[in-house]
Amino acid sequence: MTMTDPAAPATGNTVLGKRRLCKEDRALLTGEAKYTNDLNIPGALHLAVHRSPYAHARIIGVDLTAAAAAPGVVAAYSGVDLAPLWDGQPKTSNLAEYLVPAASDVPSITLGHTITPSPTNPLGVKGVGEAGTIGATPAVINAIVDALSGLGVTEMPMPASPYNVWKTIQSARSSQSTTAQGATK
Amino acid sequence: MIPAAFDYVRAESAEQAISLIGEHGEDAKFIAGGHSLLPMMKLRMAQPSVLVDIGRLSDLSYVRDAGDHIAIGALTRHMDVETSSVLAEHVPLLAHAAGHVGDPQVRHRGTIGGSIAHSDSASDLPATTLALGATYIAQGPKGTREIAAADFYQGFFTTSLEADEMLTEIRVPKMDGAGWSFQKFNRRAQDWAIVGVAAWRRGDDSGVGLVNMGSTPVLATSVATAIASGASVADAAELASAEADPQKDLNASVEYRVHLAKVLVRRALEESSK
Repeated sequence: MTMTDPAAPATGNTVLGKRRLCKEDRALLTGEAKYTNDLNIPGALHLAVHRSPYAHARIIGVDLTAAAAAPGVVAAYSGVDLAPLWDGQPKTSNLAEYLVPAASDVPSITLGHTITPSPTNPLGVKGVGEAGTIGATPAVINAIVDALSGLGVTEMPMPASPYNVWKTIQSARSSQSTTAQGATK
Repeated sequence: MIPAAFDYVRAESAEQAISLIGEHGEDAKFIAGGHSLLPMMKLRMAQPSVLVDIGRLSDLSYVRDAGDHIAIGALTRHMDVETSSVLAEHVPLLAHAAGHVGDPQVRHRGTIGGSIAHSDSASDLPATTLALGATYIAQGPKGTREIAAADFYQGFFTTSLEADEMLTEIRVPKMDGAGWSFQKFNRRAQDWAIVGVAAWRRGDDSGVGLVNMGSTPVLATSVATAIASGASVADAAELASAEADPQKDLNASVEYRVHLAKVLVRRALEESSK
């Protein structure tokens, strides 16, 4: 493996290896972004669902008259009204009826990597994911290795269980005594 | 995680329990709190054909001052041992050790008699009562007999209880103000000890029990002998594993267990000697 300068731009393209501005940030940060709820399509109706306030209750009847009489209400349904439309059975009970895009439906995609090396460390690497947890492990292992450096320890296996630390000390001591014996010969 | 099929009967008295276990033969087992036996049954390491449930024999749940010793009923839950004011005054080491068994759920169900009769060398209470020089009372069809803790543990999960005998009481000598210490080394609070030490000391007299240092709980007699002959704590602790025969497992090698035993015995004796 050869090392290249991670800060050097990749050649032969106009995108990869360049710092880029994100187009969507301004709208998101200024609150101007539009979400599905913000859509206002002329003539569209709004739907509201009212559920039983009692968990695990037996429903003996639903009175929709007050809901239907409320101003602006176009229609009100309960489960009894809708049951005949589909016999109480889900219309799409399996993936043969509920079609999802298959591999052949996906358009051709070209993958590329944007490379923006971190300026804060020699490798240019960044933590991805739970960044708060990434630093703890090397910090602890570095501290242990530092504490044991007098024995010539330069690395130790994770996890830093008492047993692993003890084994690291034992093995460092035995190789030290081997070296010392060799030196006296 | 599913045990083999078994039958279940519930005993209403100690006498009935003993007669039931005699009736059902060697494959029958007593069950009290079930916190050691059931996990082994789920792993199918134990496959009793019949369980005789003694969990409701509430007359075997007690802690009593009996003069020179404290009598503890076999069905006494770990939580009741831990919080007993009688034990806090006369055998604080045992009350303290009971508070280190498993987690609160285990301590509310598991019993001292169950833990001792189960005889897992990694359990805390067998080694602790051994260190304290306890006597166990066994009841069988022919009556009751006393078994010294030092004679009780025969091998891996094996005791000197006969198949038709039931452990009914644990008698622990009063500590009379002896210094004591319980050292449990593990990585998570509710785990079994990788190595544990229960120790007490009164001048030249001492007792040291080792947890998880062999196929049985271990009485470290060499340590006590050294203390009696005036050895320093550090020198006595070097003899910690003289009677032990530790095994390796995922948590520790044999050498690491021996190392831990020496360190923990030294700490226990230092604390007991204050």
